[in-house]
Amino acid sequence: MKLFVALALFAGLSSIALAKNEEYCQNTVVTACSSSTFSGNSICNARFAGIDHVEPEVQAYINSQLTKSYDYLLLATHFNSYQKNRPGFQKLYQGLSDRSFDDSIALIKQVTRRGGVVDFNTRHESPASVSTKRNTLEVDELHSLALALDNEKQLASGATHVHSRATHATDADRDPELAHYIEENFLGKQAETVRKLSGYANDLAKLMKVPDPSLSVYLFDEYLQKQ
Amino acid sequence: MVKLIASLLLLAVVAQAYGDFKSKKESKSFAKDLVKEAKTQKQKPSNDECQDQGCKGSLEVPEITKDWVDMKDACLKGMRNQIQEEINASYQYLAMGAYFSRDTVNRPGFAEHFFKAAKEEREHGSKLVEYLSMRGQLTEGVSDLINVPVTRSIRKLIQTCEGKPYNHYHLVDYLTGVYLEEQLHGQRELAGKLTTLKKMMVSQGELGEFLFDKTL
Repeated sequence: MKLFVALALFAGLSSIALAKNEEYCQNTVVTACSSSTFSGNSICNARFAGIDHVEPEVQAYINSQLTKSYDYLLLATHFNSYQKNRPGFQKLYQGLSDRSFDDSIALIKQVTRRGGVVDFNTRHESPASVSTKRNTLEVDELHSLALALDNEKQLASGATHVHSRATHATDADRDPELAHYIEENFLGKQAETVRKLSGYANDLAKLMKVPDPSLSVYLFDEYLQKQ
Repeated sequence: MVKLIASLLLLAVVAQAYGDFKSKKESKSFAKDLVKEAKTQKQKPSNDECQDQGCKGSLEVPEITKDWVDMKDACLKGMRNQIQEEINASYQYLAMGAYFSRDTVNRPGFAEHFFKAAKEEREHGSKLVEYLSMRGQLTEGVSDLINVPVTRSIRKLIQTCEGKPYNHYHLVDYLTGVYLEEQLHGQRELAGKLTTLKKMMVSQGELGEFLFDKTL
């Protein structure tokens, strides 16, 4: 009986040791030649540091960027109609839409660079994701600026959330590389955009405090075209 | 007695501060602020209408003739569908790009190819949207034009749009001249690449795929 227990214990220990070994690429690579199934869930991945911890957050953030990209595209379309006819506003929103789309691709590249996976079908709810409920985009000029300002702030808070998830975690989950990436490619740029839009919104709000604001809006649109 | 009054005062101050905090929290969103402002403006009995109009922020849409807006139902619906198709395609390419970027798949050439394709499809969609605007459409119902998707219709669209009794000559020309042209060239290019890759993979398998990826 004692022998049996000892044997079982030994078997258990050795299997743990084996599992531990498998976490290293080196041990897997040597068996590559003998087995034909060396692919798929390879242990030789690029994952390190806190990628497990931040991956879902970044995924949620990619989804947010894409959603906003299409929102902006429709906003641009709205101001491009012959009844609106505001090329300046159209240019502004088309620019924001293109930026969000390009940022999405850049984020996909960043996550996969770190050994992550991007799956568009799963929606991870996180403060980094924006609500999928679409608010009406058929608004007037001033409200559209307000809408854009709120959007940009949401995106900036999303990036901030991803960043703080990457920096404020326990040792094993910390991910300075990703935090640095977000800082360098998102946060500074976003502060710029938020400031710009808040300036626009305040300017136009002041300009519209006249009995007939149509000339003000016309001139403001001309100004936007030149930006 | 003095103590009681003092503590009451303190309570009042705290309550005030809390109220301020709450109202500040509520007005975090600028858009909401504007709506609120507009509402209070409306509630106020306005002596001068001009002031009210100014704060509403929206400008009247002048009545102009709609004779020149001449696109017809089936074709319009087809165009809206096509726009959604292009966006869906863009999404699919994006997912494919993400797949080939994975560390365990590692085909950067393919990934770059699909990211480029995703951008192109999105651009197609947005060009079609611009076309509709040019023809006087999309003055309303813009918000539901594109649904962000959870994932060979150009020819069919052309057929719909050149059908009787109303032929959309200009649009059909645009679709055949620009879109079909691009699509046909794209098809030929893909077919060529597919043949090369298949030939390489018959005898060389993984090595063929690896080398081919580097040429993309």
